[in-house]
Amino acid sequence: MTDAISVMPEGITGDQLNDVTFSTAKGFARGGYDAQEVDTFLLRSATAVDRLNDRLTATEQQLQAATAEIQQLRDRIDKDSLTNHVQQAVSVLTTAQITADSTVAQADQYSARVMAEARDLYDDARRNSAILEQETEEKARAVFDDALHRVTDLEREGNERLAQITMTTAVAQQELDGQTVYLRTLRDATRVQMVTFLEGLLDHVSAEYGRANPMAADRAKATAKATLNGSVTVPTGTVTSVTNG
Amino acid sequence: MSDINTAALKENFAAVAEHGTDAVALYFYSYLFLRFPETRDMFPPGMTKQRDRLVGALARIVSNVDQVDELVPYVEDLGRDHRKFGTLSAHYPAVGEALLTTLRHFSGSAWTDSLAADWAAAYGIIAGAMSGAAEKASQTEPACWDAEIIGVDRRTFDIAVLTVRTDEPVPYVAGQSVSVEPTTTRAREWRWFTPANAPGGTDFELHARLVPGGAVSTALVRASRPGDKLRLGPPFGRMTLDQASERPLLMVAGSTGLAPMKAMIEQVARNGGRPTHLYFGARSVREVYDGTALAALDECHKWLTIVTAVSDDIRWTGRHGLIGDIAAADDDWSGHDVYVCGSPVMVEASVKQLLATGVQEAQIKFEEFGEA
Repeated sequence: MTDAISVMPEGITGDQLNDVTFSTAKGFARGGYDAQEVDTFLLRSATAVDRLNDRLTATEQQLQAATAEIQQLRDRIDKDSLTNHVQQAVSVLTTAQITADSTVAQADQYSARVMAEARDLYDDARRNSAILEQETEEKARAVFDDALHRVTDLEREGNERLAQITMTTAVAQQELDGQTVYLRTLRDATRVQMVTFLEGLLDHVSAEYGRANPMAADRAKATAKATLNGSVTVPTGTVTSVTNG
Repeated sequence: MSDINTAALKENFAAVAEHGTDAVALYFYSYLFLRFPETRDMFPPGMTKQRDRLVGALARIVSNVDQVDELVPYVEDLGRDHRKFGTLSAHYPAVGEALLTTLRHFSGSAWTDSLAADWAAAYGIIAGAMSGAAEKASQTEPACWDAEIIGVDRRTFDIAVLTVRTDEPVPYVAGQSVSVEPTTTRAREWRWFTPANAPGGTDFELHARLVPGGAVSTALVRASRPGDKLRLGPPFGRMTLDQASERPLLMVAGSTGLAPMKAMIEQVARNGGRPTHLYFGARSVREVYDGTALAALDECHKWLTIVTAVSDDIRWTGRHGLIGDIAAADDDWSGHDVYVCGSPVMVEASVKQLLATGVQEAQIKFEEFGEA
């Protein structure tokens, strides 16, 4: 049993409403509740109902918000799991592609390295061979130049010798000419001496012989003179032929 | 792209690229192959180069996203070229999905619905232009041309002149390049080469120089044999003769950069001849790999003057030095149409030398041979 006045000021329950009792109104013989008590009770009840209604509305709003939030969360979870699957697949494919690329890149790099090495070798060989070729050419040129110099030298030497020889020949000729002149002079002088000697001898002989036989002596003297002149002419011809040779 | 926030796309792409372009490309291809496994067969086993290309193309598209004049021809060429890989219109949405997923993945919390919508719209326009160009090309030319190697002439250990025969003539213009796949020896790897003949026939010369570690050049120079199959992609390239011009020509070629010059000289001869100077440079005597053909050309055409120089070989009895320096020093070329082709280093040095002697930039067309 609840005394109306004792109802809790902040709220009211169904049981309290069922069990509520009011005091009998004063001044009335029978029946009738104390009006003030009833008014107070109604006021409290109205406040309690209003409060309950407010709370209900608030709770409903909370529920709606919570439901929406749950839906959002659920959507996000769904989407996340879907996106996650796609992401996983994409990342698997990406990894596979990177692996494939690196394999291909390795092969290409290997090929690039081999080719670069080959090119370097080739370039080295090319340069070396070019240098060798040039060196060979230079050497060949040097040998040629040397030979050319030698030939020139030899030619000059030959010319010099020829000039020398020519000169020597001229000197010899000159000497020979001198000797020839000398010999010729000697011959002529000798002939004159001999002729003079022989004429003297002849004169002496003829003087000796003439004293013995004057006629025969004159005849013999003429014959001897003719013979003497003829025999001396022969060496003159011999000397002339040497001069020409 | 007027209704697309291109500034946001550029900013987002820059932020994504900070994760490392290779990581981004790795994610892209992994996602693509996961979701659309049939696309894997279009690519070679090693994907390193492919990733560089993807990132390069994306970067170019994103940075030019505001300049439609630049962008449209580029993506149309990409679309036309992609037919050789077996790309179908059905593949474009797959790539789009992979691209957006990749961008979202690396954007993290910066990813927004409007960014997603802008990327999707931008990709739609690019893919539309690519597949449209592919569709248009499919009406006039095959996706690629089947070819066969009929002659292999290794001129040095790292330079080969291949004779290639196609089923039908490839409609290139002299000086243009085609991408080549050594189907027999290195399938699904494509690199650019320039036919060394004027177009029209089914046979042409291919000058290949070995790049150490280069997949295609190694296959072509060292491993190719007569009978090997090749596939050729559609021709591209702007280093071609100006048909309207009557100016004399100067061609400066380093090593196998000779190929486009030979093709253009043949074309000039067909057109009746024009005063032409060809400067050919090599490092060593042996690398003057096409001397016989050059001598024959010199003999044959009165309007053609050929100067060959060697930079590093004491055996060479002709002129010594870098070909760009020699050409630039020889004459005043300011009234010529100038063509330069060779290694990136050679092209850069030669162009610089020529510009320094008064040649105008607009006069010069040049092409570098890549690290194939």
